[in-house]
Amino acid sequence: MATALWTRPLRAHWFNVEARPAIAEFEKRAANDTPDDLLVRVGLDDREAFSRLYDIMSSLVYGLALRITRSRMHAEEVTQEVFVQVWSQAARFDPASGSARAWVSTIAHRRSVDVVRRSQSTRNREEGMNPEPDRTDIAEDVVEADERERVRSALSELSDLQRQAIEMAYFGGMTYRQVAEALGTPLGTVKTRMRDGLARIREIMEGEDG
Amino acid sequence: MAEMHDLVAAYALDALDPEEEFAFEAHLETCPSCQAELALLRGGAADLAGSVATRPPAHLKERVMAATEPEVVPIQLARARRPTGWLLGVAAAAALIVGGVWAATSGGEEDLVAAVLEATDAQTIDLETANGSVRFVYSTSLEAGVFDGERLDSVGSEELYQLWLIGADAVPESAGVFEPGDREVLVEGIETGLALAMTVELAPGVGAPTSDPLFVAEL
Repeated sequence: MATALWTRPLRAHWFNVEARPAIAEFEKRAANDTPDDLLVRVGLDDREAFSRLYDIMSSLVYGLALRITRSRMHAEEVTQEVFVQVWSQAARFDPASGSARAWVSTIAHRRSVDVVRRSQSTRNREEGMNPEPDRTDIAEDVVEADERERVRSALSELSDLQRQAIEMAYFGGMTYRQVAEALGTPLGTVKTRMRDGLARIREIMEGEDG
Repeated sequence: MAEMHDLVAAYALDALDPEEEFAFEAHLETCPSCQAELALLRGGAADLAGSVATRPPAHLKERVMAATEPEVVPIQLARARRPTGWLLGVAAAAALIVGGVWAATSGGEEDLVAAVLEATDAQTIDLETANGSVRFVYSTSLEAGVFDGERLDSVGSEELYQLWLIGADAVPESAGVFEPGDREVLVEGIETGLALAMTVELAPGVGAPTSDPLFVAEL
């Protein structure tokens, strides 16, 4: 005889076993959790770490998805998909090859852009034109004001062309070819501005962090 | 590949055409310089994301936690039958048990493995887990079972598989640890009504499970 399922009472008990030295140790360290630590632990199927990682990173993911898709509904869907992917693929995260913030926001950006490009291509087929984004659906109420302000201040140090090229690609979901065309700027120049601008932002933000 | 190197920033912004992206990713595999550059530029992109950070509605967390609730692993049972094939064929091989509860020292253990496999009341459970298929042959009259983990995926270098026996009190008791590839892990103390479970744990094993079981099977 065998159970077909891992029954709930058994599962609940499993998680409530008092003698869980490893978890207790984790909880002691919790006050110093960095996103990198948390993501590594998520890779070991640590639910508590996942919950904390969500608390720390969900504003980043949701805000980015909202900015790109311009729809609360899409932003919620993307956020959920992103965290499902984070949960299932966290074991692939390697702190040596980038930060957890970068890892998670890369997933979030890709998913958001996919949503936009998919709906654009659908609408383009249907209407033969580029849709104007719907700006009425952007949440203005609760923002992570401090983080926003710091980055906006960093952005103000970029040249206009650097900032435009980066924002059109990152928030507008445009390819660098489309950016070059829209700005009437050679491809090589756009690539260089994107590179210099991104590196500069990181430099400024890292200087602040340190 | 100077041309490819120029595409790092656009790649970090997901701003390449699909063909270019494909080519760049192939290049990235073999270019440490681009990998380092990408790590830097993705950091900058993540900073940009911070400029629009917006707290999601509170209900979203519940949805996310529910959507990632560790999956219940369906257990497929073969009908009880005499062991055949891959387990029976290796009955004479030495039990490979790494660390953990039993040290594979005595010949008595090998004898017990062979006895379980040939017991007239031997029952076989075949399970599909997320990490590969396993087989457990046990005999309640001998109060022992033999676990075959040969087909399990490998785990991290610091990790191993750990077996658990769960009785009426629902508290998992360690039933030993083994490494993927081990074909004859002896599990003693088998009786009807117990459940056998398996988790991945850090070596050399833990006193209580710290991860979700890959399977739970009632015996």
